[in-house]
Amino acid sequence: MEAILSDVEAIAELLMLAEPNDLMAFGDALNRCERIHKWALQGSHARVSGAAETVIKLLEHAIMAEPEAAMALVQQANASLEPLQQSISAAAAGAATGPRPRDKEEEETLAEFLEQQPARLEAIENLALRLERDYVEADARELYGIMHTLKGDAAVVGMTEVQQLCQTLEEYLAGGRQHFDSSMMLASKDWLESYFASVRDGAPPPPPAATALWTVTAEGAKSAPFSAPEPIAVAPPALPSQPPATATEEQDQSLLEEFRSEAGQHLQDVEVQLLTLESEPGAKDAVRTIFRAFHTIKGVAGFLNLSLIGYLAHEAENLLDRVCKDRMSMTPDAVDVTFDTVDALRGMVSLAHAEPSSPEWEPWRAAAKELTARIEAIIAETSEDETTAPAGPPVEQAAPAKKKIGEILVERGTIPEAELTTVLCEQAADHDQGHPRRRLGEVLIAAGKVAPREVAAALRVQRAAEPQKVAQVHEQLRVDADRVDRLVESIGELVISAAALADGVKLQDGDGGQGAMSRLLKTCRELQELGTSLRMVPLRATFQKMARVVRDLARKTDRPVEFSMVGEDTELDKAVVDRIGDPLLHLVRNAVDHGIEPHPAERAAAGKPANGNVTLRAFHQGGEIHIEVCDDGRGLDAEAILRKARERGLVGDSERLSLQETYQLIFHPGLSTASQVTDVSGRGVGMEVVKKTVESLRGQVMIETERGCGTVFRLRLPLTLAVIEGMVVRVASERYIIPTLAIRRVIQPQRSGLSTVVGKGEVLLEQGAFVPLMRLSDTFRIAGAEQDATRSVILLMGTGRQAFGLVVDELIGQQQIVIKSLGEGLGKVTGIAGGAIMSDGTVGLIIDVADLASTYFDSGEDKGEAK
Amino acid sequence: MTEQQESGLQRLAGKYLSFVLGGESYAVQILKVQEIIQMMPVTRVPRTPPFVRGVINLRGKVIPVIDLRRRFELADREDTDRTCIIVAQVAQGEAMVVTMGVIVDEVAEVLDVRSDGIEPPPAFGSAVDTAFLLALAKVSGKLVMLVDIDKVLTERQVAAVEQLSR
Repeated sequence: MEAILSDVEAIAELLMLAEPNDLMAFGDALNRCERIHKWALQGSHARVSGAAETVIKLLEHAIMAEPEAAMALVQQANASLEPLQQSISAAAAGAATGPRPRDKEEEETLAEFLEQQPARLEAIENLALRLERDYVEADARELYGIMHTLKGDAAVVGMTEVQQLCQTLEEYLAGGRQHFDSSMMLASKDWLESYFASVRDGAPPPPPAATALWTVTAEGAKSAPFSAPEPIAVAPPALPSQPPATATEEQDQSLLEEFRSEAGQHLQDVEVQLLTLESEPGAKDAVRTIFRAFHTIKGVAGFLNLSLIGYLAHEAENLLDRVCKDRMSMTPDAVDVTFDTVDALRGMVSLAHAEPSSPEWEPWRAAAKELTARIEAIIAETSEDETTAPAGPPVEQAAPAKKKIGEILVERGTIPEAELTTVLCEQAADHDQGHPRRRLGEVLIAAGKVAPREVAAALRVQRAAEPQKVAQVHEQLRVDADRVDRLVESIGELVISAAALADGVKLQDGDGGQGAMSRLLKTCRELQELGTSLRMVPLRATFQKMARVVRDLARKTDRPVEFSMVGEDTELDKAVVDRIGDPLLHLVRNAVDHGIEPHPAERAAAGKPANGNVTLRAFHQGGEIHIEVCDDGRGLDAEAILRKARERGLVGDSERLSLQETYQLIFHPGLSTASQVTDVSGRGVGMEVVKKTVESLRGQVMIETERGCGTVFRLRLPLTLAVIEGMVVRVASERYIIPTLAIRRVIQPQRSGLSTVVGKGEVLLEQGAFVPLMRLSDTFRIAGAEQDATRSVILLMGTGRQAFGLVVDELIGQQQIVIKSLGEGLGKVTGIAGGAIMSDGTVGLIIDVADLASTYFDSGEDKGEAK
Repeated sequence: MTEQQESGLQRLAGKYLSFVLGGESYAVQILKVQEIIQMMPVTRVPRTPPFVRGVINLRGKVIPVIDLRRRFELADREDTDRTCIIVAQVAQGEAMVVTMGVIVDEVAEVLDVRSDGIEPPPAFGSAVDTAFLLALAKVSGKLVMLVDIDKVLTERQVAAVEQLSR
């Protein structure tokens, strides 16, 4: 606190005594001011940070301005110090007002911000996991980029705590591989998640990030990257460890030298990437590399008190940040201005050793001013018009045509490049406004010296791509799910009325209407498919969550497990994806906890690699989605399961079960094959959830396992919940719809196959097994149904011990069914999954096969006990 | 009658849709009525109480319909061409509004029930379970029973469904 107030005084003194071109003094004042700003953000003193920002802005402008203008700005800054001081005193006195209520606009910004976070957090988690497995620079950079963006966004919505956390993570990501700690990243992600959730729900925020993270890193396997529980205290590892203030002259010199060579390398990188961008404006990696280069230059320049360099690099970074965030595309104008910025920075870096007051800086100050103006113009232009605006100032618009000159120059190759370069350098040194043409030529050749092949390639692509400059970005729409639902619903209606119409047309009119009719039907089907596809989302996010689960669990249980996924881009109805997470979670936990052997030695003895493997796989098969959870662990022990089931009285002693039937027993609540119950799984409840959820999605769970080799749980799921293939059946005068997926076989029974067993009722001999029969007319109390089973149809449904035959009078036909709820007024009706509008306009009821079976078999068991 | 009860009854004044059931006049608050539709084919839903006639397709939405005769435990009667379905929006629980249909013998007219004509429901002697009635009202000399449609369509329904499915 004292330090902050003394900072204010120091600034006041500096500004009072400053010469108009004393950049060092301005830089010092700026640094101090930034320290105040940071302090204010940390303590959420909105007024202080606001006042500090004003001063920072003024100082920044002063650094850029002509001497006379600079003095005026400095005076203004000096005047702004008073409110700053007052606000600090107020904050110190605790008189700072609490957070004021958000207005509507802020509310919306916040909502949008929150909406974006899940995807971002997912990306963070995914990248952290990837980096943990295999440290790749590109991934680290991407993670860094995400942190940086999040930091910026958090600042916009005023989440200082998030901002700080990101800052810390960013700094320590910059430290490279040896500083990377995935546990720390993941813990941060978890913390962010809970923080965002608390903001969204208006709940109290989680404990401060510092505490949460400190716990993790303290107990983490790797050495803690923080020397104190206050993460903000970490110095960026990439930067020199000693601040220049305490550095001796010599150290300063060597630092400057280092900076010059480093910055030169970065600027070269930028040029190479810019060339890539010329040919592919959408190349995200290139944008990120450029962004990162400017960011580093900015950081180091700030450290060395090279304010002008820092300032210009910051401007360029801003521009690239917008491109990164898809707020604008890398237009030719933007590329040009970036090229020019690179040139200017290069010139400034070469002057880094000169005194800030040296007249050599003068031309660069003008250049920086001009470039800043251009960058701001581009930013302003793109923020006004979010579409890729081709229009721009005429000079810059001519740029693409002019590029050809540089191109030809290089292409001819006969022109001595060195000569050209000197000419261009002279032109650049003249501090007149650089023409884009000249600048570009110079840049191309300067880069050409380093990597001529790249330039040539870029030019070739550039020429080919000349007519189409627009970045190819698939536009993403965020649409209210309700609207999509309504769309799908009304398309469903359209399909039905078209079908009804088709019936009518067939009856009345021969060929005339038929053609039109079939076209209409085709359009309807197309629309329906399209509408349904709107609801489709890839499984990727769900799978990635599982990656995290496997990792955490493997650590917890201390067994090495590798996780892989296949087909994560498979798309599935959002409603299904949302609900499949829980079952998958249970299955994956089970795979790690029960599937994989607890000791690598056990695996080695079985001739398996030391690391266990859990794989998630998704693929289409015959109009269904199959999701498999595979492990290469011990496999299920059928005997143990059966023994346990007999102990618990789930299976009679004399009952003989097939292997599949035995495996299905693990879905029974309360049956656990784990010899010991851990806090992770093994209570049998999880498996019941799996089966229940999958069945409620009208899917099935299959198990394949081999003792000692591993287990595969396969979930068969319908593509979408909105539309199903249904079999329409008739019983007496009533019609019902049965999901085709649930029907295994349709049987026209012979009398010889039918018999009645005491205590079990009617059964059908089917492939050597007795299958109990359920008459729909009995279950649903339908009067007037066919009594003679041989004149009925039996639909074979369910598997294993739950297999049964449903007796109906007649099959009417198969059709696509749009499922509707029966209305909240009725609640859940046992055995009915919902309703569907039939082609005659009445409602048909859809049978919930799993529900029907469970009530039937449960009550059957009750009866058995009663006897 | 206490004053409190009286002021409670006064609040019932307003516009009502009257209908006929078993020769007697009933009415529901007009604000609860969404529309009146002609009788249409109803799909029976198994394992529901007898007074649930089934479900209908109301322009693409499936809604349940209640047979008010059965709900009031009056004798069944064949549907006629005057039989109607009153589609009502009823409150269920705290924040949910549910659309349901009510089958009545015929719809009569819109009544203006004035506060001075409202009396508390009789404790006994009515053909209908008085729990379903809000009050009695005298409108131009005729007696009309004001029906508590929320209660008719929601109360004890879930329980009944559960019982039957056992």
